[in-house]
Order: sequence, then structure tokens, then C-alpha cells
Amino acid sequence: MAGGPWDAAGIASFFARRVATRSMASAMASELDWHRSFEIAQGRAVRFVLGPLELWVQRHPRDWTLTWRRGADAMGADVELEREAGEVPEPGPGVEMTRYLCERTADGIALSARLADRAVASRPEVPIVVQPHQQISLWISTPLWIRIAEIGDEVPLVELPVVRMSDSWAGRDTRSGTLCYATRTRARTSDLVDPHPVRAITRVEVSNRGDSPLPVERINLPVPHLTLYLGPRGWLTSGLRVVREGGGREPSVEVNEAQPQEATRVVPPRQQADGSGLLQGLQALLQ
Amino acid sequence: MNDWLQTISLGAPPDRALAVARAVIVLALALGVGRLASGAIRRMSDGRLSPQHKMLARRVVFYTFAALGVVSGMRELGFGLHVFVGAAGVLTVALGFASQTSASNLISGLFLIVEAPFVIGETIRVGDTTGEVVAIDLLSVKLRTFDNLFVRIPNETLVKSQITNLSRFPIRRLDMTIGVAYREDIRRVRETLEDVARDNPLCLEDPPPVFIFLGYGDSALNLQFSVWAARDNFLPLRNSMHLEIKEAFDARGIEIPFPHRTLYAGSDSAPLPVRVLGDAPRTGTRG
Repeated sequence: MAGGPWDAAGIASFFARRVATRSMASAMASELDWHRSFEIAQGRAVRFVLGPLELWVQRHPRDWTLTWRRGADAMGADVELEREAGEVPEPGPGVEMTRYLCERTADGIALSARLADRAVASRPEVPIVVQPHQQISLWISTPLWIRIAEIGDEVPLVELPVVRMSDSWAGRDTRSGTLCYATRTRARTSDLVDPHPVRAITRVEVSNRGDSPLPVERINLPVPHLTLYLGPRGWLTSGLRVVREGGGREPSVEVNEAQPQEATRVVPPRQQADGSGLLQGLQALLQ
Repeated sequence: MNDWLQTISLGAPPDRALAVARAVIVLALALGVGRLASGAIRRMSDGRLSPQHKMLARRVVFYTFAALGVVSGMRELGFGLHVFVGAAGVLTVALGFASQTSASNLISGLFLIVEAPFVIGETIRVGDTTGEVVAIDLLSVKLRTFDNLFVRIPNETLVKSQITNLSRFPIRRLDMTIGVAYREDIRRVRETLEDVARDNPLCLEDPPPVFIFLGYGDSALNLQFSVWAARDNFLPLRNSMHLEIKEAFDARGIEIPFPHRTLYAGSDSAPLPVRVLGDAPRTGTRG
């Protein structure tokens, strides 16, 4: 059949995409490799770049000195690991430094990923409307938190967000609700997004079974209740399923705990969802 | 009592003199015992009661024994308890009139407890006084002002006054009144303000900032720009927003004008020109 997807041009394009995806996957695999331990000799200072976050780690006999600052590009995807620190910036506007004291510092530090510690209100860059009797999936990314701990220690030194998101409020009015973070999203409708080394992608399935269009101005993701996974397609979280029935009823929301394909469970949810709390938080999922 | 007075005027018979002596001895004994008991209270309460409570306890004990001594002495002299009952009735009426304010405070305190317009730890404003509630007592509420002063407010005053609870709701709005020069483009000013709010992470994205054109002032265009923050971040946001707005205005050349006055020499004349001299030498004139 001429002109169809399985003609010569289509087949060539298909294999080209698979090759490009594999190349991208191997490059991304190395960038995702920051999620591990790093041995640091005493007296040595090393530098890490994890997306927008630039981190200097200095090991002394009885303290770790951590210095960090964030770049202006919130979507930055550069990763540099364990480079020589050079000149460590002094604390000041935009640069923070803290010393963590102990009897004797361990052999190194361990970096691991965490999801945000509050819900994230994601506002589409362009307003979205889901038509009646339609079901769509949106892929929304949120920045990760970097957990820094001594090797072998359960208690972290600090958890740092790669991006300091703006504060926001999730609630029906100004009297009751919860503090959350605010971010912008392109709300992609395809999972063919480039994996990001320090951002996690959440799939939100929205099913509008009503007879009227469903406008989506903001999506409140209950990130602390989501599980974090890692796979070839990067960082992924549990999915969300939102069903809006007709008749003016509130949408029903549930977390889809099905493990994404080819992904490994990395971190459990920060908070276990109790029925009322999660539902209350998710009732403001779509506003 | 008349018989007794008559007896004194006619000269007391021996049994009457004995009665007086007994009365004096009983009173003296009661006062002595009262003093000893008061001293015992003082020794026993060292380190257990505050000086104020210790003094109160000693006086209560002493005056109780004194009252018992007076009553017993009067009985020795032939005066019945009905005399004291009558006096107590009069005393009760007097106390009622004297304590109506305290009773009002007490009842007002009960109403405050039931209605709970504030709780301990919250910050309230009553009239010109703003402070943290440190105690809610039967007769009054105690505040600690931000400059660490102790303020006692009677409950009756609180029930009759307007109370502003600054801590009741989790988020709070900061209203800023800004004046810009008449030559400025209002749309450009608005964009600048919204950029500043968007770049400040403490400023909530939702509820969104509010821009209000207040009017054409004498010397400036008066604008109101309101942003929301978490209650705990209100003061840091207030300082940072004003600082960042000033910096943004300076960077974009937006003028915050001083008060202007235009001088006219006459009704139809042109305005008087004013030339500012820099380092020009002063020339004195005579005559």
C-alpha cells in the first residue's frame, strides 16, 4: 500500500527513531548515573552539577561543608560529577553554605533522588480543555530533590531541590487548603519526551465522561504521595487517574500504582495517602 | 448592746469585768496563734510559692484567726452571731457593687473561651496593641508585644472591642501602595511588578497577585499591588518585595516621584523657571 506508514520511507523513519532513541538512551543512562555513592578523600573538595543545581562538597576531619547555588535555567539538564572544585564561592546572595559536624566524617557521600516535599501545582503554559466523552493522558514533569548523606548513614545531611519553585496555595478558598509549589508545564500528550536527569515525569490520565468540556487551568499533583521509579526513559512517578462523571459531581481521583514498564522502584512515597487526606488534596487536582 | 453600754457607764460588775478579760484573752490568743500560723506558712512555702502567693497565704491565715478571735471575743461579751450575719449581709451588698467589674471580666472570659476568637500562641491586634497571646486567664488576657513588653487586657475590654487575629488563616495578603510618575507607561509598570512577584519564591502564585489602579494623585499615579504569602513568610516577603520592586524600577528607569508643586506667578503667566546651580561660585551682592 503506497503512502502508508509501512512504506519504505516509513520503515526507514521507524528504524532511524529507534537508533536515535538508543543513542539518547545510552547518553541519558550516563547522566542518570549520579544516583550513587562518591568517595571523597579528606581535605578534598569536589563539585557536582545536577541540572540547575551546582554543589560543592568539602570533606574535613570532623565536618562536611556543602555550598550550593542554582542557575537561572530551571530546565537545565547538565550533569557533571565529582569534578575538582576549583574556587568554592563564598556565601552571599544566591550562594548558601552549611557545615555538618560529626565526630569523624565517613569516606564519602551518597546522592539519591527524592520527589518534592509538597504538592506541585502545575499550570499549563497554554490553557487546556478536555472535550466531552474524551480520555487523554498528560505527561507533566516536576523537579527532583537531591538527598545528600554520608555513605552508610540513614540520616541525610540535607535535601536540596534542584529548582526552588515558587510557593503557591492549593485550596478552595484562602481559609483552608495547603501550601504547595507552583510550576509551569507544557502538558505533553505524548510520552515521547526526552528523559531529564533531575526531573520526574508523572502521567495524568483525564477522562471526561460528562457532556460539557472540562477546562484545565491548573493541575495539583500530590507529589508526596507518589512513588519514584527509574528506567531507561528517566525518572517516572506513579500515575494519576482522574475521572469526571457528568451531573456536576466532583471528579474522582486515584493514584495508579502500577509500575511503569522497564522501570525500577527507587523511593516510596514521602507520605502514605490516607483516604480523606488524599481525596481532599486531589479534589483540587483540576482547577 | 444597750445593756452593755449601760453597764459600762454605771461601772462594770465583777462578772462583766471577767467577761471583758476573757474576751481580751481570747482575742490576744487568736492573734498570737494567727501570727504563729502565718510564720509557719512562710517557712513551709519557701521555694514552693512565689513571694506574692506566699504573702497572700500568710494574710489569709492571719486574718482568719483574727476574725475567729473577734467573733469569739464578742460572744464572750454577750453579742450573738446574728450581729455578724447582719453585718455580713451589708458587706455582701457592698462587695457586689465593688466587684461588678471583676464579675464582668469573669463572665467575659467564659465567653472568650467558648467563642475562641484566638488561642494561646496566636498574634492578635486590639486597638493599638499587637502581640502574641501568652495567657488567657479568668479576668484578663496577657500579650507579649513584638518589642517584648507585657500587656494585660481585661476580658471585658476584649469582648467589647474589635480583635484582629493575624494568625488565624495560613496565608496572608501584602498590600503595597506604589506611586509612579505620570510619564510612566502603566502597562509597563504592571508587567514589571508582576515579573518581580513571579521571580520571588515566597510570593504565592495562587492566589495570583492583584493590580489595582487607585487614581490620579497630586504627584503620582497611585497603584496598589497585592501579593500573597504564607503567614510565616509575611515579613520576609514584605521586605524582599519592596527591595526588589525598587531594584526593578531602577533597572527599567521607572520613576517613583517626589511630591510635585507647580508655581505660577499669575493666573495667565508661564510657570517660573527653576535652574539648579551645581558648583557655581557664590557671588555676594550689597545693597
